[in-house]
Amino acid sequence: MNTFSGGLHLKYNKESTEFKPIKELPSPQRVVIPLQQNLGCPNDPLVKVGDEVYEGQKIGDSPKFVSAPVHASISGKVTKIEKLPNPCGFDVASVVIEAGGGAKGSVMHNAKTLEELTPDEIRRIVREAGIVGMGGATFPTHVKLTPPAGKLIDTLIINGCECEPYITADHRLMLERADDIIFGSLALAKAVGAQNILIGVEDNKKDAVGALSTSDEKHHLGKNSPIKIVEVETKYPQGGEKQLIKTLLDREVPSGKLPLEVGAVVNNVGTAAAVAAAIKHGTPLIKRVLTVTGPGMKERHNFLVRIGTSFEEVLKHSEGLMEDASRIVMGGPMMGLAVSSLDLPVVKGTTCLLVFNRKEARIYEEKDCIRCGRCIKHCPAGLMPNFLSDYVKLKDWEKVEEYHVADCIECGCCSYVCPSRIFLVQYFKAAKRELQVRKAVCQ
Amino acid sequence: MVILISILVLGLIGFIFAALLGLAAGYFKIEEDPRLATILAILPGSNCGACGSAGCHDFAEKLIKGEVLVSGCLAGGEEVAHKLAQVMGTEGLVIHKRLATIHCGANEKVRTKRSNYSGIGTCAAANLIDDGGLNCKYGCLGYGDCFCACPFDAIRMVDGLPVIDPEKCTACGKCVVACPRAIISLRPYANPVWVACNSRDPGPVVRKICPVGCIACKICEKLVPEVFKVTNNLAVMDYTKTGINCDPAIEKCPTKCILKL
Repeated sequence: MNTFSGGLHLKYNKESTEFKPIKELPSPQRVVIPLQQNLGCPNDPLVKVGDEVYEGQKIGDSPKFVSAPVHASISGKVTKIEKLPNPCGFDVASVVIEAGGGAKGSVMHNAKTLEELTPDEIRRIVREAGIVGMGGATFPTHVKLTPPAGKLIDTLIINGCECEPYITADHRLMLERADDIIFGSLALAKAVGAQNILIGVEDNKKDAVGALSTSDEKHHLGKNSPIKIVEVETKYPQGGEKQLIKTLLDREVPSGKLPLEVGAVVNNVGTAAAVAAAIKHGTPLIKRVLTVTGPGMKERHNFLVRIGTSFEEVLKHSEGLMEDASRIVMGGPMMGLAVSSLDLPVVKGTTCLLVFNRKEARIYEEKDCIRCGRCIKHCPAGLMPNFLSDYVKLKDWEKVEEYHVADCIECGCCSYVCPSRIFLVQYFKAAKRELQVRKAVCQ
Repeated sequence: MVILISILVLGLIGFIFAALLGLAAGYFKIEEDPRLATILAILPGSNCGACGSAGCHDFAEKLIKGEVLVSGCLAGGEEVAHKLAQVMGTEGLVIHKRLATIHCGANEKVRTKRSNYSGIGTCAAANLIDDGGLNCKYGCLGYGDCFCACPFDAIRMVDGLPVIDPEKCTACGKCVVACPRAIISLRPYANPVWVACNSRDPGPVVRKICPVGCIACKICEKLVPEVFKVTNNLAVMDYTKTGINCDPAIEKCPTKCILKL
């Protein structure tokens, strides 16, 4: 079996939620919708305080290309527009909507079938629906679907790996909405002009492979189907964009370049399902599947949650926290961010709420590097984290760039394997930010 | 006989090499300005880079070429500038000494937190995640990035808040760059008063989270209008105006966030 170099075999802890069907939560009384939920430019509000909005109404948009609009996830009244904390760690202008009353309006409607739609129309629908990368990176999808002139995309990869431990949101989605995923893949492939579609699923999710290959949509395509479902090795970070391209196509994305460079576009299964919903029913991205799990939870669930619901509201619908629950992480245990307050809202990139107990949340003291080289062996990006972290500590920013900190995918393998418990990936995250600031100052 | 021959041969080889070295020394001789050694002796020699040159030697060379001014050595300050002026023959030199200033007065006893930060212990890293767990988005994080950056040992950390030693501080500006929250600025040494707050949050918010923050009450602006001005919910001082009596404002400031040396 082909695979990328480095990586880790982790304990997955998915058993407790992978058989639990997705449960839709009732609509909350109040939502907080950050105007920036994507990588790229923030949106400007399209509504004022006191306006009545309907479910699915566009409330924020930007004229910039690398942006995705945001929509009201409940019907109600706009009570506040101000800077509020966002799960990513900084304050973002957000629209607060209280349920009740509510204007009437209809979401965009698309009367055409997939065969009639042109690539441009698909891109427009994807952008209007506010669809971003649902795996957590939140890169606007329509940007990925717009290859620069002269670049030929031969393959669309649909990422169903879900390699982070604990998370089962995509797994459940593949089981329950296989048709939508296949339909969405076809739409995405049409938009980029790709001839082949590869759906990569880790081999610990055999049932998902089965569901995708026996789905009605796939059956309709018959023998000449462009879709191939590939089982890939269960290894972290198999779901990394560049790692998955290496595994499936044996192509390596050059340093500092996008997957476009090697003729591939990667999208998450969640993104494909959202695209299908937007084309079939005109539904913008206002709900997402979220796994609520971890050793600090009494009961674990897969929820379908409206964007903007507070974490507290989400936790209220489960059976509650264990007594020794001590830290909540948004995202998986490897790449997730610690949550500082339960008032924070669910955003488009929230894949999981992970509650750790005191034992799991323990932070070890950092010791000196013993030069074992394990971080180098396991780095899926082929970097040398040991040297890199030394240069970050010395603030030798030229050397940090020379050792390609920009190619770090922040997967956390190095910190995980380090026997001295050095905060390697944390240093790189800080260094990347520092370099960004420095570049901005220079310009 | 053998011994004699070897002595002669080796002696001859030695002589030839000596002659070659002598010639080479003459051929490759670099004319060095006699002032360079004097200037290097005057300069502090800390190679801090605050002048913008790559260390003291580079600065000295540029000074001789006339590319930089005698007052260019920030670390050396007034004294060095006057000595350099004598060497270079510059006259009528007036130098305003400056001083790093910490625009925050909240030490770790009064800082309020909303979450526990347990990551890398630098301000730059803490500032990336949820404002380092502090309620105040503008105040000192207390991990001492400025303390580590100071090449002159002029910053002490007292209860998690940097304190500047006015005698040791050379206004090189390294701490100004190191602080991720831009709390530190340089003010004229002649001005002993400064505003120890950097918060642009509105008054009621500051009241809730910090006992020593500026609440933008504008009392200082009313009492000493020449110097103080409240903009963006923060009292801003015109540090260039020295010699104005600011004591009434210092006394009446309800949160005591205007400090005096």
